[in-house]
Amino acid sequence: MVMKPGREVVIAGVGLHPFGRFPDKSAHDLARTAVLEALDDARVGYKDIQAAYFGHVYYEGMSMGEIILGQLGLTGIPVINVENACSSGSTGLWLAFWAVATGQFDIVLAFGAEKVPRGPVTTTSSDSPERLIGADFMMAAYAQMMRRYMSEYGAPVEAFAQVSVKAHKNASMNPYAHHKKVFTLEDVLNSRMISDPLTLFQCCPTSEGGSAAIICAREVADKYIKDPDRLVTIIGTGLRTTKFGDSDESDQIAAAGREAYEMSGVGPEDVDVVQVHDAGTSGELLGIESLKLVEKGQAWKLEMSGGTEIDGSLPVNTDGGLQGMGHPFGATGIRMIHEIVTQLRGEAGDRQVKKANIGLAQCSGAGGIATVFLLRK
Amino acid sequence: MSETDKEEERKPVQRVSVTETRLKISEDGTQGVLLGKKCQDCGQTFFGAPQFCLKCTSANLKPVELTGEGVVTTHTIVRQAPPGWQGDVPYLLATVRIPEGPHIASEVVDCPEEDLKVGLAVELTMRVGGTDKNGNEIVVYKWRPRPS
Repeated sequence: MVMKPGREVVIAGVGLHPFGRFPDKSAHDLARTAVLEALDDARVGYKDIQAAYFGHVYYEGMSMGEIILGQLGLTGIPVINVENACSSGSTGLWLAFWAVATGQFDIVLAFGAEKVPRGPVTTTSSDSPERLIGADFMMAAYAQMMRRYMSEYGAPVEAFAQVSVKAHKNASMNPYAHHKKVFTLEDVLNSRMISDPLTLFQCCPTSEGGSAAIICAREVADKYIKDPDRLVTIIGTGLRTTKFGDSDESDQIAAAGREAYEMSGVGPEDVDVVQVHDAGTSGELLGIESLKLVEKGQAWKLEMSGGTEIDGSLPVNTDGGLQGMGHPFGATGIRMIHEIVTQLRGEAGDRQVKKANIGLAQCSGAGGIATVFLLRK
Repeated sequence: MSETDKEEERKPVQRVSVTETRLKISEDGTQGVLLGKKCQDCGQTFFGAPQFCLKCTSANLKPVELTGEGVVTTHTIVRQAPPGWQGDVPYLLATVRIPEGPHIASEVVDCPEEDLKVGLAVELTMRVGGTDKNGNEIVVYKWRPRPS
């Protein structure tokens, strides 16, 4: 069953704290910077915000969202802390969307932040059996998805390395990105092997950063928003978790995508610019196929022919993606929205795609979570 | 040597299953069988001990012992150890489909790197995968190539 929004919901403003390493700043600082930028972008005051949703994963004390926003004014609004792994931020946005779509609130804030520690990312508690079994390692999961794809479709390792090359090229044009260095195919393939066949430069950096978006009902936008030309509409969204029989995260992405397409009334052929969850490079190829943006087994060819570049037929991860931007878990989902909004407004500068009317953002979370958003100018 | 260390020394080393809901082991830990549940309504079999059927949500599940062999569906060689791993690095990791349906991931031992392929037939083997905080040896189910 596809849910239908009761009224049109728009994104009024977006904000980011740059992604990278910031030893002198707390996750609270990163989040607050992003929130202030989003409020400023929407030209809305914090006093107008009626509810807030905060995406965050690592424990840094209780009710973190309340503590962050408490510095902006104690207005008594509901603040919801959301943990949904790497899709925590996009899950908060999904909640924000539905709160506005159903009329619960007129204008709300969705934001996220994280300071991810260095080193391999695991998903279970430290005393779980998975640690001793050796299966709890995020990049080993992406490596196994890559191996299966290579085995099924005959894709070479170069196709995956190209995802990283392109991502870093895009990131080099983005002041918010963690890794702005440009790599060659050889640099990527010759970097240290992490989990065969995935090399270091095909594993997204663990990062620190913050992101925020102001969500508003179109019918009341005039009351709050001074610049209606910069509003971007959320035309569809989907959030799905593992269903029995799913083989890997591709199936959850496909299901969330179907939900979003059906709600929006647009199809994959209408999408002009895309953000997908490329934590490992395999995530991009599987992601765009699952979303039916390219035929099954064909994504690697599109990647190698330059089709996913900013000037290609299907621009993907135009801001550098997780590979180039880095991955502060709670912030990533709304970072993708920031880029799509920037592209649809035509404000992406050197990274601007030619035609940007409809954009898609897909974020994954460990444990079988997928979110999809479709946006239209 | 402290008094505590002497106490520890007297205790014989026990071998314990990495997780009793998935693996039953012999007392010496050299033999093991994978455990699962089978739904009596829809017929689906699961690895481990879900409380309800993951396919049809029925509560009518019966404990079963699973086949100790299967086929590699995908694999990797982990060259940077994730936290908590107590074995050698690098190690071969594979996802294996067993005949009843479940996919079970674990290390592949006694296998040269170049032999690890999608489609490789493997069987179960028990190995000590680490030590717990009481000094017990933890027995982990692993895969090894099935003799052809």
